[in-house]
Amino acid sequence: MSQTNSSQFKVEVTGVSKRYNIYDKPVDRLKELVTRNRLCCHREYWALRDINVQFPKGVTALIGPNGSGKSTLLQIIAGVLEPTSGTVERRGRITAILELGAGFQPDYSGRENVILNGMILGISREEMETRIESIAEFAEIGDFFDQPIKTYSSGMVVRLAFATAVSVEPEILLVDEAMAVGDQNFQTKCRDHIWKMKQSGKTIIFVTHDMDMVRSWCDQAVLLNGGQTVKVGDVNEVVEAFEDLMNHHDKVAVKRFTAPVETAKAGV
Amino acid sequence: MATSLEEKAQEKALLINNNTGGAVPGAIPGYSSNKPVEMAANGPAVLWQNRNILLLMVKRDSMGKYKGSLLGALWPLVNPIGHLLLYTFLFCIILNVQFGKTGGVGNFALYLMSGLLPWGAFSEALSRSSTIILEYPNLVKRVVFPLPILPLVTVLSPLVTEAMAFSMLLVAILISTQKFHASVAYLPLIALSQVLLTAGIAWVLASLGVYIRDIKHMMALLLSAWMYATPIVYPASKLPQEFQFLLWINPMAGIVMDYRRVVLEGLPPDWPHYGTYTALAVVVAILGFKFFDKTKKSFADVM
Repeated sequence: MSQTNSSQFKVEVTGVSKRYNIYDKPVDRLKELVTRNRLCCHREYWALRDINVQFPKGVTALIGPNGSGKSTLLQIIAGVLEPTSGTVERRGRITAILELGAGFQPDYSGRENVILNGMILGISREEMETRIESIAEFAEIGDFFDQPIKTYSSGMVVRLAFATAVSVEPEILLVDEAMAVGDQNFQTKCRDHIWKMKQSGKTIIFVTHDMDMVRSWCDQAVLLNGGQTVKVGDVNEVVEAFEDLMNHHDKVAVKRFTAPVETAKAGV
Repeated sequence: MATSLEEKAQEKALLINNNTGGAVPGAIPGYSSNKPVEMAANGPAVLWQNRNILLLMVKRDSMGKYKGSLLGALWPLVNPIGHLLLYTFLFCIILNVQFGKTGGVGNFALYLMSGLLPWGAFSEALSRSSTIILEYPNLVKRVVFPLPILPLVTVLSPLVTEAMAFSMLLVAILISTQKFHASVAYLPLIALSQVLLTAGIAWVLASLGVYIRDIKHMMALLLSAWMYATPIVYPASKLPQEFQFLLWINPMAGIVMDYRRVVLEGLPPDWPHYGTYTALAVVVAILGFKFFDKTKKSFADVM
């Protein structure tokens, strides 16, 4: 029965919440873990509350103001963070470029990192070695490929991360804002590659602040604010909702920003 | 911090031209095989499933350790030889500690090394394991990494160095005693117990180290106390009667004594003793792994 239903969505996020317990001392966290919460000593912060989103094939953008939970949601979809409650279903190989550098080790060379990251995704060393030259070429790393990653510029790290992530041909690609770091040529290259992935029926979920890109590229958009979904679905409607939100936000921010100046003047 | 990153990204995003015309870049040949996505294993199976990553990291770690230093690959030998001279002078020449039936400086040196080398691997593993998770934040926070193998890197990497130095020791024993003991064939058995014990403790320390940063400062003191409670710089027979029980509850004591039996005395391991410390090592390994497995979920939240 759910056969047609389930194949429609590559990623299904159901009732996901993420609570951060804020501890005054790190040891308090351990106390709770060991005593199974019989000893409680924390305050709570909800980064995400009851998120329900389905991601079909194609490109979905996650948008929202700073601190709205976009990156947290992406990390939970990637499986790096455990949700406090709720479930994430993923159908297919998933790779993620979360912030700078993915799972790269600063001391390892580019080559070693690419192989290690492939192996983490369950691809054998031999298989990674057959495609390693094309990864280096795509990333335009040149002679630095055998140097430690810590000597790379941030652009080089992102290029290598992107090349590695797409080289394993994921069914689902997650991209945090990382891509915005590369130069324009590489941006173009990345976009072309993502476009190709989209054409061949892959699922791409990315976080961005570039509304033009959202409008022209995405099949779906998700607007988050304060850890909750505000709007999901048609790109134009979601972007509009986002712009309304930001305008309102700006006005409040301007008021807040100018208020202390006025009181300061009044004080003088 | 997140704010500034986001702002930076926003800034850069504004600079991007939206017309993505131009040459189509060379595509990367894709991952062609149609293998089903491997599900991440749970429990100890994760160790076996990821043995290749472990191997790669151990190789990288044990070779990279002395990279960039002047003596390079000689350090694994320079260090034990330095300690050998130091301890021999202190304990044999000044304090007149004697080993074996014949005693003497040469004999002391051989007995000392056959205990000091395994101890070195054990203590290096433990002192590093409390910070090993913190050393690899990218593997915790950016990818789904089989975390239980990280402490194993600290366990196995010093073992490589130990094995190198130990084979030099075997040559030295052969030359100085003119005897070859077939009992060295028992070495892997003893080493296996040592690895299980070290791994169990390393898992616990690695996990605790994430939550309690004081662990690493405690380790230096703890390890030197443990070393002197183990018959490394003195023979086990020197331990007063009322402290002999220590040899049974301290698994490293039995391990060191058995190393000596098989490489110097031509005897098999002391089986009752071997059984005791091996059973202890297995229990420690199982409990250690369970503890790590249970606590690893919130590593990413803490770091």
